[in-house]
Amino acid sequence: MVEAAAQKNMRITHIFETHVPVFPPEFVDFLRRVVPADRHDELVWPVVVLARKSNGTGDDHAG
Amino acid sequence: MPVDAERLREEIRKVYSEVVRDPKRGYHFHTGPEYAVERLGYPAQALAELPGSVTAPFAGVGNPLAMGEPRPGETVVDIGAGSGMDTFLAARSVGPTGRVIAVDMTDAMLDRGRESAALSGTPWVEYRKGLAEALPVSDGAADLVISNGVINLALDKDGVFREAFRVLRPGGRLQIADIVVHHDIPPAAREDIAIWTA
Repeated sequence: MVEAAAQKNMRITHIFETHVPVFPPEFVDFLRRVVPADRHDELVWPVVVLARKSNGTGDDHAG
Repeated sequence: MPVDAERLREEIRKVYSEVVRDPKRGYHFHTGPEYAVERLGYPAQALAELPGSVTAPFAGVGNPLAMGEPRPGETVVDIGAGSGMDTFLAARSVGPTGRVIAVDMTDAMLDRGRESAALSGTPWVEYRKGLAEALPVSDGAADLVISNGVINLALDKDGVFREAFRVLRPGGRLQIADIVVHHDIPPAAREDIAIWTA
């Protein structure tokens, strides 16, 4: 998803992984117990992304 | 067999129509203002000032406005606005000289959003029916595009970003909250419509 944004001439200025699980904590604890450690990356995590469309001047901080 | 886009949309409409009708029923995702404040860091006071009809069906996964609020007079497009918690927070920021275009594909959400705009006295919020992959917004109209927990539901994610890019003015911002996995999703899971809507 992030890569798709980047391909559209969007300058991604911030990606914030909240690490607040989508599921209730007790369910995540359960998953961590039953899922092998090398598969924990398969859990779903929320992110918040800020990107900016190029303004064509080369100064992407200008708004 | 690949998931059929229209069938997926219909399943999503069913789920979120039910969220509007009965937001506290208990779903596989969190809902409501308490979750938004306690888990996602939304400002409690700002949510308390919004109608319950706006905040109760909230089912986002983060706070896209935490990256910066729109400025007075700006035009904001909310992709998959739902009942409109982010929409109405943005409306408060842009004020009557600004505009918030709330796009959603679910009639129940559109009805709720329009009622809330009337109830809250914010005629600068306009709900429009449409898809994330085909936004009913003109080119370059938006200073800010926001979205919360919607792009993961779209089959054509590249198409969503293409549309967001199209409607943004040069220098405009895209602020999204969504969910990701760090591994590729197995083909069998990609083809399971129950997992898409879960």
